[in-house]
Amino acid sequence: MIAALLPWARPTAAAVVRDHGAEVLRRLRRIFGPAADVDDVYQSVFVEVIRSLPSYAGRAHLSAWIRRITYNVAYQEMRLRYRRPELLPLDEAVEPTAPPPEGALESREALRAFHAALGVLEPSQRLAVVLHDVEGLKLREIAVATGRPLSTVASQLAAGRARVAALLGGQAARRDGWGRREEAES
Amino acid sequence: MSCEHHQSELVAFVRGELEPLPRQRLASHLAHCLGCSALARTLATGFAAARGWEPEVAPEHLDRLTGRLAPWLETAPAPRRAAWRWAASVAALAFASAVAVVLLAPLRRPVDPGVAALELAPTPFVRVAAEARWDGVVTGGPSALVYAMTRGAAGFSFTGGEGRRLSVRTPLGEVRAVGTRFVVALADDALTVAVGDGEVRVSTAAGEAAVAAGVEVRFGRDGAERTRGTLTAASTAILDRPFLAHAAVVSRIDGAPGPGLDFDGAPALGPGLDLDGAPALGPGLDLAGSPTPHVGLVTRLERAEQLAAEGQARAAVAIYSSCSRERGLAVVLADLCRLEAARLTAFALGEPERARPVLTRLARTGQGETRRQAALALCELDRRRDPCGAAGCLRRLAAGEGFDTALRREAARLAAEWAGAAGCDGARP
Repeated sequence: MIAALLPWARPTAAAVVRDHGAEVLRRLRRIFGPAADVDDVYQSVFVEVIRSLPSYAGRAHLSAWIRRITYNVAYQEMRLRYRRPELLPLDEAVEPTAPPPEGALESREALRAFHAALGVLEPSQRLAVVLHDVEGLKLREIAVATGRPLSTVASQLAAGRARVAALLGGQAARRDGWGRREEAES
Repeated sequence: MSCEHHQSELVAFVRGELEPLPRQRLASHLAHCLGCSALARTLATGFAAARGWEPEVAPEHLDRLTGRLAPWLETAPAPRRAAWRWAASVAALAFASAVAVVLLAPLRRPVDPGVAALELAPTPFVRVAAEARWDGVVTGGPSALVYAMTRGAAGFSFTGGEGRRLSVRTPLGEVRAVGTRFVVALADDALTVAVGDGEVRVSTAAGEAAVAAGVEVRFGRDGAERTRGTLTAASTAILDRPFLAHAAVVSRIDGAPGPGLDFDGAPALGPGLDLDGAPALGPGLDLAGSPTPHVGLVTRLERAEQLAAEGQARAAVAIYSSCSRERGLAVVLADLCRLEAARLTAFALGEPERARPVLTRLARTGQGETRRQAALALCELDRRRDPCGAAGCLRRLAAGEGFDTALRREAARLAAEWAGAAGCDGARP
């Protein structure tokens, strides 16, 4: 514990996997949703972490450094799945390892529907929505992490959200039997 | 205003991010629109569920995943310590058992179908570099893989030992992984092999050749060595890319190239997020089909970003300006476009006085991040005019009301940094 605080101490790969494995897996599940298999993504994250560990300069907090690698690999995965969805199905058949909070059916279904909608977004829009609305990053933090201007990030977020709303709107319309333009007389 | 327009703002509404005026307008719409109010509830539940979900991680599952990392953990380079030279040699030895093969060459024709998909081994020993695209067939089993490449670009990471074998066959020769990291570039008339660590053996029609670490060799169509030298930047960039799960091989082998995705031009992926290699958004991938009327906005802003990066600031400013004037665009987005236009005008076009009024207004009335960035840009303008006075501008920001703690902290840090860099008296107001 004390060694970890010493500036010249560098964590070993095994210690990094042991200390950060659970958090990375949890984060990947939040990013890809309860029904997605993220085992390979997890592995990709840690292979990259292990490979890059010698160049980890210790300027950023280790967990922040790993988080960036996680986002990076997750984005690559989003692009991969977006391009070849039939080969790497998302949100299908795999049972979630844990129910949403309090096991509420509505919440669980909402979570599934939300991630299913995210799965069809263009990757940069999906990343913007996930980082902002799921991971809680501010626009500025996303802009810094992605190296893009705020306006681009904001527009990607807006486009992604609008698409999610359209997709969920279509589902809700089919479920509830209302037309999208139907308005009730007040 | 149509339901579709309102729907584009619903997420911001349910997340409490909408400005007062549009919020009020949307609230009055929701009061009498069953469809939109139901969608608002669906969105609120979905976003809240996603944000609040804390997945459980079963320890046995985590152990299994950690077990799959064993080959990498066993060969992980030692951490840097004081005796770095010793550690570096240990790391080099450790690395000698890990192999990365990267094949790169421009993809000039559609990819052949008929690719054999492989099941993932419990501890996959082959991984694929980001941005891999190639033509060919994978054959083999849990301990031996053969990549028969006909053309294209792909990257593989191979962990040797326990009888594992990796071989890459190309029309111009076969590359066998011996325990190393290397790059292979396959073009019409040449096979280039560049080795990062360790060594590889290359068999061609002209015989067998060994290529050692730090060396790049180009073989001609007849298999003879044409050139031998140090690693090129292209090879080094490929070696620096992350290597993804083996499943990526399956998905990338016959993946048609996305619009605008140029392997050769794709920059290396650093430890940070690198989105520059992302395919350009085609018309079908942008906002088409979304309820927002601002079709193509993302594409246009990305174009502006690209133009700015290429030094064509005036063209970028034109795009940002047109975005800021777009009717019905969310105020936050329009302001961000104004901000980008003003910043480029001030710092890239060298016309600070044209930009100052816009930045001043945004620093006073902008929302959140726009306001923060505009305020900092104004201080940067001051700095260019008077380095010591700029520190004062930042200090005023740091002490100012109405800005959040993060900005005040950042301003205080920058004030000290700028004052120090300019050799100013730190106490000067």
